Amino acid sequence: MHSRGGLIVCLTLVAAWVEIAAASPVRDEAFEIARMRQTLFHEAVDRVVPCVVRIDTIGGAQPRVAGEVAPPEEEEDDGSPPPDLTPFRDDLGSKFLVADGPTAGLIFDADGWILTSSFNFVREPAHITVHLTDGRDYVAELVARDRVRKLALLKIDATGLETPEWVPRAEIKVGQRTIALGRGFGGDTPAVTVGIVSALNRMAGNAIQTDAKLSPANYGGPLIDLRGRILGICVPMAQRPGELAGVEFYDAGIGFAVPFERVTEIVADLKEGISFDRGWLGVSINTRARNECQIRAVADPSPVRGLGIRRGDVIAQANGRELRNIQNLRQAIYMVPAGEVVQIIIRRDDLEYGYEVVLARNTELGALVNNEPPPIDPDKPFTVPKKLPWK
Amino acid sequence: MRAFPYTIVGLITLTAFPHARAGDDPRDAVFALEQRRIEVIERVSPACVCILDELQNGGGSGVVIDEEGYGLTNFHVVAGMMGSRKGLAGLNDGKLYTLEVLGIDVTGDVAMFRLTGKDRFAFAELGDSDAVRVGDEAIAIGNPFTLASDYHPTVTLGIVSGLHRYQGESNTLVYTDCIQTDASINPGNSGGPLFDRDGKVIGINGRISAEMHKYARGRFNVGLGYAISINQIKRFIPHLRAGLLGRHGTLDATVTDDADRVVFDNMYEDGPAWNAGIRVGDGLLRFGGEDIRSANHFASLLGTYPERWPVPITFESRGRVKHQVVRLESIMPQMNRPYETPPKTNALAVKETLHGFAEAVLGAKFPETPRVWSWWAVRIAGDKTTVFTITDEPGGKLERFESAEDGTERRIEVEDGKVALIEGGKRYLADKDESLLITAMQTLRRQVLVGAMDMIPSGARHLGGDALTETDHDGRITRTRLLETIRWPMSDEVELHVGFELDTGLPARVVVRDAPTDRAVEIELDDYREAGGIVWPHRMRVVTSSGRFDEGIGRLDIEW
Amino acid sequence: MVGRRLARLISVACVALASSARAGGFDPAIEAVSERVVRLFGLKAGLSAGYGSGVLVSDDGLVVTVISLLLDAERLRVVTPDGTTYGADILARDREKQLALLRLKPLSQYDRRGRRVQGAAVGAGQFKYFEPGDSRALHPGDWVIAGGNPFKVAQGDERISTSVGVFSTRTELDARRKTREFPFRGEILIIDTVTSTPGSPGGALVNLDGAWVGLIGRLVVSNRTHTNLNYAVPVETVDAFVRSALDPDGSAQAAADVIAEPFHGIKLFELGYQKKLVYVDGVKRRSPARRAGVKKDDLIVSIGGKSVSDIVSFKEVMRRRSPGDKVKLVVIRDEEIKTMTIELEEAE
Repeated sequence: MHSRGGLIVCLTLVAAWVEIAAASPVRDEAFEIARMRQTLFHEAVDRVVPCVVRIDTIGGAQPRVAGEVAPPEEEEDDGSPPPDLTPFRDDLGSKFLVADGPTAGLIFDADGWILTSSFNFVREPAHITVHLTDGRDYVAELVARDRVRKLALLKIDATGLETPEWVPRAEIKVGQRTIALGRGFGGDTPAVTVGIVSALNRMAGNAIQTDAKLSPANYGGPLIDLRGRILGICVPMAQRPGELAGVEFYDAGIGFAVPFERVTEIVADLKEGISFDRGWLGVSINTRARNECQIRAVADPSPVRGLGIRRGDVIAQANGRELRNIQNLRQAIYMVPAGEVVQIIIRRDDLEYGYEVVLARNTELGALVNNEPPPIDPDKPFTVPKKLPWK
Repeated sequence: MRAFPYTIVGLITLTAFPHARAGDDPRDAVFALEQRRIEVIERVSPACVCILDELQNGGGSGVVIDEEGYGLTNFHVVAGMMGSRKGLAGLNDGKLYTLEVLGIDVTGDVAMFRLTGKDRFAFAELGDSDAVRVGDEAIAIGNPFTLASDYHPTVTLGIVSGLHRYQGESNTLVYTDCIQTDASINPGNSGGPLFDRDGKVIGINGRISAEMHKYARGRFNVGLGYAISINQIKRFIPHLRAGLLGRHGTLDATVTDDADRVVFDNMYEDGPAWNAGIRVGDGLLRFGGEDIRSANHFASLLGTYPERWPVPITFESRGRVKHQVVRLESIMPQMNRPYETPPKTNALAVKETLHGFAEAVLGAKFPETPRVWSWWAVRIAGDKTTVFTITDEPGGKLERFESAEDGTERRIEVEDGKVALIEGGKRYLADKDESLLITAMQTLRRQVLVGAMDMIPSGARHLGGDALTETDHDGRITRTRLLETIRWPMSDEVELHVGFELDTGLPARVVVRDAPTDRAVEIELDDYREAGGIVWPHRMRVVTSSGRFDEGIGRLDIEW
Repeated sequence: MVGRRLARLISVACVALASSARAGGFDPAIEAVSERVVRLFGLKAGLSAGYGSGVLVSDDGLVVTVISLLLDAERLRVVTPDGTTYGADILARDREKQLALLRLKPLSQYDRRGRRVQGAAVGAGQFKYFEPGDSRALHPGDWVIAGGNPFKVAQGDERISTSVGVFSTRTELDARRKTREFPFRGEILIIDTVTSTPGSPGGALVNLDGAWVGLIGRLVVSNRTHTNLNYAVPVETVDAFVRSALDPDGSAQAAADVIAEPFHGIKLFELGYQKKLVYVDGVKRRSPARRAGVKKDDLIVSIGGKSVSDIVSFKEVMRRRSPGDKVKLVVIRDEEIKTMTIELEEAE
């Protein structure tokens, strides 16, 4: 019985095949493998689809200033534009509009915790709903955000949810296929884009990079491998702070996903309602100073004020990275949230002093001051080797 | 068609047995390919370079192409470093190395650099961009937006979307014959390699299409990236390695589309086209072995050739089809400042070329004593045919010429650099061409082929690349040998040019030129085989000339 | 038996790996699309006025493309895949679907001596063309190959540009061009290969087999994501337009009327200035909404799967529906999600 069924399938397929083959003769092994790969895309997507939710938001508005609020560190002395990170300016970040369409999230565990991207909530929506693949709808609570890694954690009142399998970071290889799932176009099936893993250790180790087309259509959704396992959560990222930083790369083949290890490091805090925000040293940099990162003013209170750091001091290194301008400083600390430590080396009068500084939240900083802080106690600072190992 | 039965099997297994056992699973073929891609990327990534200027600013890419640390990038990536010729290069071992800019090709937007800082660099192999087809997988590796803080490059995958694209707007940065790909290429990818699926370099990524008007996204990939084809770059590599300015060639003539023909519409007198006998109104049929379809097609092909390059051309003049090999003139690139070749770079290129040659011919050792060598030759001059042999005895100073027809013995004596022929007891001075030929022969044997390179006088200079192009009677290219040429003075008047084949390091052409008379003798060497412990040419072709290579007074085909 | 065959397939695959087979398996599709997509150029006073792509849909020179500025040029120049140049007449336009149908015609040119050169003739059986395939059979993750002339990089008889991606999803188009709403209504195919580039629209989208599944759409910005959309109009929509355009009634010429909102019976009010919340102000008696269970003070979440950010967006969705359609309404009432289905009626 079984074999006869199989035979009929064979014959039908042969007939269909001959017809197609007649239309176009060039079908080789490569074609067959491409077809097989397509089947693998389907199977991988099908495996993970029950764990991908659609998130709708209600209310909310464009962020007050799209892009980022000018922080004290970026105040200019001379009004000239800041030096470019690359020879090519990316001015899209400031003109990008944040849409209010649906977005995607991934079920993190069976008890209703949903992992998604903080990008999806920069409009500060009044209500959030979650639509499961099986058709159920829930009102969701936004429990906490990690504005540095661009993650957010939602809670819905559900149990026994299907959870996905994650790939350990050590198993991820540059060049392997990736599939990104999004819900940005609504509907009941996810939008699928494909690519490969472009790099493993991006954004100070917080993300893997892919050339699959990532955009607001799939931020918050998962990046999966060919076997339907989760490689990471798709988020916008760039080597600078800002809630919208990285969205300018949308669909350009530069995409980032936060892998499992990084998620598990912070998820317990997120569940507790602890958010992660950008960390600040509380200094203003003199952009006229050539080829060095010279402090123009220090906020009081601020993490560096208490250390005796003052106007005219030069930040020579941050986290082992030599600094020559404000961009270098930003690149060195943009991934360190408030409450975490940055190692800096301050140069004053050809002497170097090393410090470990706990970064502060923007709201904890006082006004910029130029007055003399108490002098540095020569016994107190410790001198560190010129080259610090950094991740 | 051969694949037909297998493809049916593929379909059946997919449909009827979606959960076949692991070992039998046709999915394995896909996973095997995945694994292969991962391995290829792993293999080539250490050769991919993140390029920064000395202050660690900027962002570009490059690729190392040999273990000495020579590599390729775009000129526009290193343009800002030309003052000091110094920059920095990050490799995926996480370390920064010193980068020195060598030769540049401003027009073609290519530059060569050399890394220092370790003994052996991982390098990528160069592929054959003429074998690339639309639809082939393409892998781009580079450092877009300077994301690679640990110098691990970004890898993107796509296909070849188009070939032989022409992206030229002005006299500078003309991308001719480039490969178009939909692999994501972004600012910072510039100078990085485009690989085929086997991990061979097929191009250097250089530019993208992007809309720059007010409402557009700006400089981000929108699916169209262009790579300079590696075969074009290969022609310039010897120039660039030697620190020379890569100049592109021109016919000193322009063509235009005229209905269904491509015709010459403008030219300089005494330019390469003119000298080949081409006149305004003649039709261009073939160039560099390719049938010309449009004026744009010709522009795209022409842009791939360096100055002085020999290119076969087929044209129609007053109803007659003619074939010629023309040597192109030079386009002077627009430069902000005069370009000087770093003398150390050139000297190093000379040394490396000769070293490669010594290895190729001799392995590590010199032969103990020269054996008896002889060539037979046929000389056709007018209606007179002379067949004679040249024999060189061990330790002997004299070569003997014998005419096979009458048995007359001819001897050659070389005194004070002057060559005398002794024929039938009569002694007379050889004419200039014969004299040069004999000088060339001697030099060839004593200095070039025997490898007595330590005898090379100082003043040697690397002249960059050249080619030997063979065509059939239809003017089609049958063979091209890429060369790199070294020139050194033999005396105040005579200079020697030796062209070493790029692939093998073996001498393929020896030219002896007499400066006051501008006469030259050219010997082409071919069919190298091992004989008596060294690799030795078994075929030679000699062209003597009076000013231009193809107008010899005679022609000798000499075989060993 | 099957096992042995399988082994053979795998061995073939291994051979493919070992040999230097470089192709990604897209050759049939690339060939199909390269041979059937034409390049369009507009000429105004002898100068170039826009460029785009089109798809051959008959063997005698019918070409379907998208509406664009280049169609307003004085003359059209069409370059077929073999590099031959033709002129073209515009047979029909559909402003709602943003599609146009062209017929190729000979184009006379002048050579450099000013002599008139007769253009290539147009006749039956002359062109390779696409029969419509089946876009509904596309599954997210299926390979798609797009062919067109982005940035007019293909010159002379060069091949058009082809790029490979996957079919992402099928969705209703909700987009704008700069600040104006894009009039197209209906489903589109979202793809992950970039086609939002000048010159691409009007090109063809084919599947791995090389079957025609869509026409690359005009450059628009999605209202849902605020990003440039890469999409194609499903081949069924294109085919319906071609058929109606060839219909002697010429119904495709008729401009699309602004469709009135069908009757649902919901009155709305908004709260907030920048963060708007849309509430039900009242529900008419004996209305579809009343029957569906909509109540006063319900907070509207989404209508027809689209989030509601203000009253305008609610009305926008409703205008696109017809009487008799069933539309899903999601509201929040007492902190709970309620889902209702409203069956729309004819407007009074």
